[in-house]
Amino acid sequence: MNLVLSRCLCLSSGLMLGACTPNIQPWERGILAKPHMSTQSNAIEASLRQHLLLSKEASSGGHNAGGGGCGCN
Amino acid sequence: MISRYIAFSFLPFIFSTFAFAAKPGDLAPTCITEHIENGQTLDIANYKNKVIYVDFWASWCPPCKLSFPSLNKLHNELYKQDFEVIAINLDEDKNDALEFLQHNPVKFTVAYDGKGKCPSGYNVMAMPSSYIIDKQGVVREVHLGFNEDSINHIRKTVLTLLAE
Repeated sequence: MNLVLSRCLCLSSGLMLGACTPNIQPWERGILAKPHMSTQSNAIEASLRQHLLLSKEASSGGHNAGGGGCGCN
Repeated sequence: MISRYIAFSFLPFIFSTFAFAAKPGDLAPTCITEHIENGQTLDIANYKNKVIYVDFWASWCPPCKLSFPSLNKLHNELYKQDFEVIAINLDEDKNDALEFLQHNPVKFTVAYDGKGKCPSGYNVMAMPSSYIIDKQGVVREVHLGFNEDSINHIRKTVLTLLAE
């Protein structure tokens, strides 16, 4: 019983992980590239926040990814 | 025994990440699409005996916008020598492409493939991606992305292929 259960668990977890594979093609990123899809809608405010983070926490980088979502940079 | 099941379970996950891109030396994949303005069928295979520059682009892609004036200039310079630029738009909404073309008019052939059949065949990895195809229909060079220096290299390759 335990063996059957563990086999089912293995198969189902594998299948579920397969669904997590990012299958968005480079040409399907048009909507993601729109300005309102940006996590930082206000560039000036984002810059100020980064400055504060840098001065208070002594850390920088890793906050977002560069590029317009076209996979070209 | 269990480890075999674990390995088997992860196979779909591993294979789903595999992809085979068109590379130099390969025959150009089949690509049948339509002209963006009149909807007439456009088949890349009909351009044999010409050197063609197949460019996959989208209106939302900044390097694509950068490439258009340079490609238009190259087209105007070499179209009388059996050279053709075919720019295949991949926007989800065709109107975005038409609006882009109003602001960035070009003389070369522009096609539309909103369903992404052609880029799937070529397995386009980035936007823009371009493929220089020789007179025998063989992919000779692949370019990912575009910057201001790209056009000089592209021009040199096209001239070499035209001379073959």
